[in-house]
Amino acid sequence: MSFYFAIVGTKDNPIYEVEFGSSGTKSIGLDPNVKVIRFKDEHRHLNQFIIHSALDLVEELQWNTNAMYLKSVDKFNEWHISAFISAGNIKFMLLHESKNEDSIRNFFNECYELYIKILMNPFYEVNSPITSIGFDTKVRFAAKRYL
Amino acid sequence: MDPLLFTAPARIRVLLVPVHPIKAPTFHRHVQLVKNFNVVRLGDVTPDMRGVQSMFSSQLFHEGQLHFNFVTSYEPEHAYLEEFQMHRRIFGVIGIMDCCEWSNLKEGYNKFSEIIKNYRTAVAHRCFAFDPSEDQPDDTKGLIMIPNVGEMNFYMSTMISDFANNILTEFGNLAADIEKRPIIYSPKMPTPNSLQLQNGTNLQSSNGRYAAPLQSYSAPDLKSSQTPPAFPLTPPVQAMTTAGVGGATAGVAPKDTYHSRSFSSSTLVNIATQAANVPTDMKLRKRAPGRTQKLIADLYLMAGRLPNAVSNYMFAIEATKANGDYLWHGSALEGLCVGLLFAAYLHTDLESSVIQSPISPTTTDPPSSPELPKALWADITDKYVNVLTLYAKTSSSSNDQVPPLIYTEACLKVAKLLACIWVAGGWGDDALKLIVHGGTPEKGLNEKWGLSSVSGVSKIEVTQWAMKGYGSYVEDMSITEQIHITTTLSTIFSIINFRRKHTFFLRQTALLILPLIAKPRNSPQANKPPTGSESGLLTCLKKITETYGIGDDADKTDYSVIVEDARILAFGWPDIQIDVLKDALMISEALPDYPSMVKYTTRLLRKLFMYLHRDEQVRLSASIPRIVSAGKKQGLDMEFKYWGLNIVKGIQVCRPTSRRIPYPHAGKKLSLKNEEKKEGVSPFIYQSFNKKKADNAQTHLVANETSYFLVTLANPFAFDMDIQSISVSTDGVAFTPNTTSITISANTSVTLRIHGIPTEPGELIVRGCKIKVHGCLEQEFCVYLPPSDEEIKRKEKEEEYNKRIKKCGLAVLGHSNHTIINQKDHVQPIEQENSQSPTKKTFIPEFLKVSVIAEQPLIKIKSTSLMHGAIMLFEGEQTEMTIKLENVGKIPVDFLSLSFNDSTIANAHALLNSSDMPAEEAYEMELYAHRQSVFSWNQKDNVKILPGSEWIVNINVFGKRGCVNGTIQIDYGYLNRPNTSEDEPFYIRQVHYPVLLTIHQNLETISMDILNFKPLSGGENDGVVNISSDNNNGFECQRNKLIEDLLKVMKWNNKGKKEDFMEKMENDYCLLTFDIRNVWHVGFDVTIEADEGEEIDPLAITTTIQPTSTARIILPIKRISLSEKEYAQPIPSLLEKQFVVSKGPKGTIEQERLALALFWYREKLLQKIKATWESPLTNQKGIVDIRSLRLNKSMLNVLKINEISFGIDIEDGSKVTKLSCNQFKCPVNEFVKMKFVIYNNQEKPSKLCIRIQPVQSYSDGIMEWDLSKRMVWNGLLQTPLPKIEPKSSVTYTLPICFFSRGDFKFLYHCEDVYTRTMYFDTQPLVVEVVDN
Repeated sequence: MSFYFAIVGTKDNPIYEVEFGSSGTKSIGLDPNVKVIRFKDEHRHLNQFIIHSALDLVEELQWNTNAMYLKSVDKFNEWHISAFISAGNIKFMLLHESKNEDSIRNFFNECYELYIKILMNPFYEVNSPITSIGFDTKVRFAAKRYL
Repeated sequence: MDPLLFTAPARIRVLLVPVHPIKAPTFHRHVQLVKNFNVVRLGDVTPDMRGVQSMFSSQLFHEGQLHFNFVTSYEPEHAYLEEFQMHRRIFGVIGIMDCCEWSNLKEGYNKFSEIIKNYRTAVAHRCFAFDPSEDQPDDTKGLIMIPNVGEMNFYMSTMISDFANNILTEFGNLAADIEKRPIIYSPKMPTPNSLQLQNGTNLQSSNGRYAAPLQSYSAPDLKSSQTPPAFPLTPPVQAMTTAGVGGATAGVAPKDTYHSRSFSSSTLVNIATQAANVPTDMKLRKRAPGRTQKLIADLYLMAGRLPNAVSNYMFAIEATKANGDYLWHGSALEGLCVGLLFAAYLHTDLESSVIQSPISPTTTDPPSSPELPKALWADITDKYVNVLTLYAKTSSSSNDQVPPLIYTEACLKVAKLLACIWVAGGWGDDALKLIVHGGTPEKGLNEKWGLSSVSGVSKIEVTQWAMKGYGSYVEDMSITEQIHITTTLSTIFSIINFRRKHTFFLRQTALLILPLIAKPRNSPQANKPPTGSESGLLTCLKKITETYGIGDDADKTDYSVIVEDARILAFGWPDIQIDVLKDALMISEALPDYPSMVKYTTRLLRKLFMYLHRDEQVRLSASIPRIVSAGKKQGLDMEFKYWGLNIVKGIQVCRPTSRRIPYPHAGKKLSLKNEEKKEGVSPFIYQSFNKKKADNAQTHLVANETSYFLVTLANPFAFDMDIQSISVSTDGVAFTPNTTSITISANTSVTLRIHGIPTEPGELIVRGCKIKVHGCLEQEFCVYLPPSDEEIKRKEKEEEYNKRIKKCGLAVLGHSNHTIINQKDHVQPIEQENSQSPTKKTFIPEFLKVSVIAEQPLIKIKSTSLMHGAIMLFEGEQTEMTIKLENVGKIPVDFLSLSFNDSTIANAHALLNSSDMPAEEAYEMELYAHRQSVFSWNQKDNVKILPGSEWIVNINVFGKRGCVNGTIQIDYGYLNRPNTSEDEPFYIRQVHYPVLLTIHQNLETISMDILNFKPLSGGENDGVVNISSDNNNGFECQRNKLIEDLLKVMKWNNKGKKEDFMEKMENDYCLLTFDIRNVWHVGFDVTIEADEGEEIDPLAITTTIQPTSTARIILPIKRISLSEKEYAQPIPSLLEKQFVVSKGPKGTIEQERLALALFWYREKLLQKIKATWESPLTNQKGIVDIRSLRLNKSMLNVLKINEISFGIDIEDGSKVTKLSCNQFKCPVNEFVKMKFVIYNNQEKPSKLCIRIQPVQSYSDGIMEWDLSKRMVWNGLLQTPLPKIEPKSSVTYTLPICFFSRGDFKFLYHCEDVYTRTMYFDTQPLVVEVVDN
């Protein structure tokens, strides 16, 4: 199980990206290290493309619901794309394999809280990349907890 | 025609083949003509000639339509599906022949006959011969001549109808065949083994070249361990026959032998396992009827017999359902849907009854007809959900497995159907037309917000269907199939305006096509125009890049103007952008299309260099020249502008060396001359205000002289930038730039000095630099000002606006473009917009304005009379030095002015400013600083130094105490130019010559005193008869001796006559004495001169002072008389400095007055005296500084002549003796007349009162005041005097008789009756009363 999480700004620009996989996936293959690295390298780009193409759906869906959590918006092969949209049109996109709405919802809410905190920083400008290490660790922690 | 058209199953596929030779355009023209007749109404079909009523040619259903699908290419790849989906078959072949190419039409027909043998499924064929000439006989059997005159349309439609009839007839035979078959197999894909053998060579070659980007994306669990690692997706190399490419190859030959496919593991496994449970014949036999029904229904559908088709499908569904034959069940459902849709299209309600109640087909008028159409598409989607479940079920059954293609196509068909409905704005005729005929729909208003309330179809639904069709199994299909799928997907998303999705699949398509277009590079087809597919692909790339925010708009901006990096908050996803651009690069490289290669490379570097690794940047930049040269080899115009960010960060005029700086003089020449005079008086060169001006002054360039510019260049990239040429770009006056080249190393900035020559005076505008970066065109770069405050405010406002309206995603991109277009209307042409940054920025280039002045002369100091620029002097020494100037310029010099500076001035100034010294000290200091200049110069007129000639300047040097260095500044210029007016400002240049000075002190003056020698003057010349007595004689001798001695001391050698001296003593002289000490080790002759005025010859004393000895100088000086007005004026200041209230302790009024008097008397005194020295050995001459002498109060009293002075005389007879001026000897008991003469030396009359007080003084110093018994006087001791006119005197006589012997003193003074000023005599009157 691996996940790819990205926060996308209003200009289709990523402001935060992270990948995390649960430990189980890494054991596949004879040489796990090589495989994991290769997998990541090739995969990451496609992940980004998938997330990017799913933005269309987010923009479509956001008008149909009051909720910020848009659930699974798109499917690409066996990958699901879940989305969460903030009031400021910042999109939280998660690429995942299995459907687990509740935990993803919790994860998104947690990330949203964290994002709000970032946003309250007077030195942070909307749409600019989040470079806070604290944010990163907290997001990873949230992922560990909920996903 | 789109194979994924929803109504594809209802179309009869007819292949149009060219009968070669035929020109491609001609062929296409005829194809278009034939395609116009793709719909044939059943009623128009020519009745069967043979009269045999087959099951398909019945004309009962007149509303029905035959839809032909004229294709020019055929994919035998899907031949295995032809048994399953009849519409995939080629039912007819129409040969297209150009009569102009064939002389014998029969041969042509024979050739056609050969061609049709390749298409065994074709049941009908025709050969159309177009454009027959008159002489070609229409006698060939089977060949149909199509004349190009007359009712061509009618003729054609007749022919097509006839053709249709033929096909329908054959359908009957086909159906009969099918019905006869006992077993009908499900479609099976050809086994991979045979293919592998077939493709062995292809596999090898294509593996290396094509790294499938999608391959890895299948889920890992699908990749079973069985997969041979060396068996990846194998793309067919030449199987591409899309309409675009197919122009040349269409219909040439069947490509069975060429087409190749590959399977990935999943299929392989399935096929492998298939063998294990081959269904028994029994089971198949049981299923046959249902399948037969389905196939026949397919034929009915194609034949346009919708009622029959629908009912047959219904039957097939029932049958397959019963058998659990999921695959065929699903397929029948699909067919049914198509049938229903067609029925809706044709507005035949008949079918609805069939669906609802097949038992009662007569109910032709259902009451629910208005709702029906709306229900239909929903119904279709529901049915398709069912279809998909059925198909999905087949995978578990392991037999009759659904080919992935069928599954995918089902999904995509629904997606497209829904998309068509959506775009048409809802279910209706428009939507149906789109669905049936295909084609690109016009995007309606519906797209605005995507709210599909009208259409009832949501984009989400469309997407869901579409994405269902794009599973991991797609990668296992052949490249051709994949391309079909991705193009269809991108079309669907384009229809529903999902640009990102659209682009995603467009990119996939492009990547899939990439290996197919990779063709051998050594093909000698130079300069060939891009074929359709190539240009199509390039258009694709353009579209892709646009969506990712790196479209061609990015190139429109002139990046050379961008000052700052607009990367933050820019649109897009950098990682993706890099990927996309790299893909674009790869594809254009494969084509190869050099201009786009350059375009994408530069865009990648420019936009995303900060995200690229160093090596990559280096690689990319290195590839540009390679691409350019390759492109040039192909004869393409590969010149392009510099693509990077602005290189030039700043430009400024380099200040010339000090001797080349021209200094402006604004005024007229006349005023200059005054100024020069003033300068002569005051040697200030660096006055504070002057200095400031010099610093801020603009640098002027001089015509015809090399001028330098400092240019700061920056290279933000990680590779060295090779600038082939750089030069200053200017406007205004003519300028000859000099080009240079430089390499800016990575990530650095350099400051470069480039030069050029302005060739005429005027204003030069430095615009920037013309730079030719290696491989690019020469371009002008300017320096841009940061946006003004107003600009920033506007920008912020706009940004705020953007935030508020929450434009997001691609709308931002569109928005930014929009604003730019708007803005361009009202913005000056210089302003440039940055289209990438959503908040537009305006840049105003900063032009440097430099004035170029007319040619100026240039002078250099060729030589001087000094050794090493140093000079050693004694204090006060006067000497002369020379400077030899040479004109090294091109024009003459006619103006020369010297000014000087020395080290003492600054020190003195510092002292003056800092300390709060008394005014007289300050005056002394100022005098020292400014009156005594180290250098001086006698200006000569008519200076004219011609180019190349020399000129000598003489400079006087003065040994000024404490001076260690000085500077000679020579200002020169050419003023009297031809054709210039007096008022014109002009320029001068300066040459500086520093001089080191060593000043030695040789003489010093000390210990001044002033003595009154009035007491020495005797009575011998006052007319009193000198009574010789012993006493008197003794006194006389004593006095004479004194004078003699004095004269000796005075060394009054030249006029050393006693008489002269005596005379002087009488005339109000006093003695000035001071010492001169020689502190040097050489003797000096010192001459002291006292100048008393015009009528008296100056008095000079010369004496030699030996080393380390001291000489006392005694000089008779006429006493000085100054009026009160003169000596009470304040001490002047030489500097025009601001008056500052003295902070020091303020003395009483008397003290102040005294100080002033001391000052003024000293000035007067010093004016009189001149002291010079001379060294007989070295012939040096100089001045002795006497200003170190100071006056005090007692000296002053001697020196000055009072306003009121007294003269005393005692008259009466011979008995009174005058001992000295105020000493008398007088007999006792005799009346004497004591005369007090009071002189008024002032310029005004004065009224005085005299007071006299006689006292008797004893030798022991006791004074006796009461003298009434010792003397009597006749008169008043205190009385006012008559008014004394100026320069005159009154005499007050007081007769006195002394009774007693002894010394009497008379104290007396005068008091001004108005001012109460007291005037005293210098000495009291002493009368020695003796016996007779």
